[in-house]
Amino acid sequence: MKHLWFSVGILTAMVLLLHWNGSHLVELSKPLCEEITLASQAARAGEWENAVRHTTAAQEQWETHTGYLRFVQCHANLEKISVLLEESKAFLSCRETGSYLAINEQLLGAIEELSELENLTAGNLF
Amino acid sequence: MINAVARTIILYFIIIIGIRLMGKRQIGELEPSELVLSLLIADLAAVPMQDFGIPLIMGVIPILTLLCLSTILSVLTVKSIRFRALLCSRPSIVIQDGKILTKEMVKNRFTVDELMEELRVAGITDPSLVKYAVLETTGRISVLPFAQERPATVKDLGISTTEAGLPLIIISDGRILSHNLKTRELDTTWVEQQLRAHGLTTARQVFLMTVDEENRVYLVPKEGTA
Repeated sequence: MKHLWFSVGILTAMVLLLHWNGSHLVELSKPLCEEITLASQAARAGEWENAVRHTTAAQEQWETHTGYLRFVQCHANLEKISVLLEESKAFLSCRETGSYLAINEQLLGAIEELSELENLTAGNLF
Repeated sequence: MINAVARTIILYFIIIIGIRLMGKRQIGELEPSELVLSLLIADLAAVPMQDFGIPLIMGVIPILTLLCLSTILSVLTVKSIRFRALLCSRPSIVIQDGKILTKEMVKNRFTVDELMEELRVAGITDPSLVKYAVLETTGRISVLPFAQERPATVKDLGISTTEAGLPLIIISDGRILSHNLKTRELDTTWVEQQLRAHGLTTARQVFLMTVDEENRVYLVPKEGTA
């Protein structure tokens, strides 16, 4: 019976840890998405300095999390977001509003997808 | 590429530990659920071994999940006969009193060719000589011939023999196995006596030494030391 309880214990611990991981991803993606949204709003309003500030803050936040994320997420998904952030900065430096906003939308989608994939939903299961 | 080596080593040991936890079974005697487990683990391990874009934990978690599920199911099959029948099915008698039970053959989708092959492997070429042939849950056939067709045993011939007992390995590739020595209630002094009797001086010169319950010794020296 000790094998049974040991296995049940490991499974339970794994489920709890993965549930925590999912919550953690949602929590770390929220401020990131906020910064990108604020950056887009600033760009629309022509406030480029604010847009730069928010985009830089988003990138710094992203870089602090990549160490952990590389353990739990496919690297291709992480690299996609890193590349999008770089492109966002590039369009920002050229003051290309349309492209910048489009890239930010893609960024938001990619970051939200990262956290949504960790949820236990019918869509993710099937 | 050094990551490939490191990942392979890590996953290899995880699988070995997992299979060790599955218990003492040979591949040929796995229940269906265990066979599925082995195949799945092999596939799951291969993915992060080859694709460095996938974190190692994405291979470890499914493998760990499968091993835990397998352990839980195996404990449940031990505790519950119904669950065992559900998961592993029941053995089926396909030959009884020399007659092939065609209904059971059809029910198990077991062909005559497969039956004859299994009988030949058991040393039997004529099904009419078989009292029972049981199709086990592992897919193998257990054959019980009629009493008159079985090889004669020592008891049948009325010959008295002594029990050989179970030989235990005392020295394996030059190393004395203290645990087995204690089991036989022997000590290193006895080992040294045996070595001297065989013209050897140290255990390192011995490839294999066993002793049975009657203290009969079987010794194989290493080549070049005899």
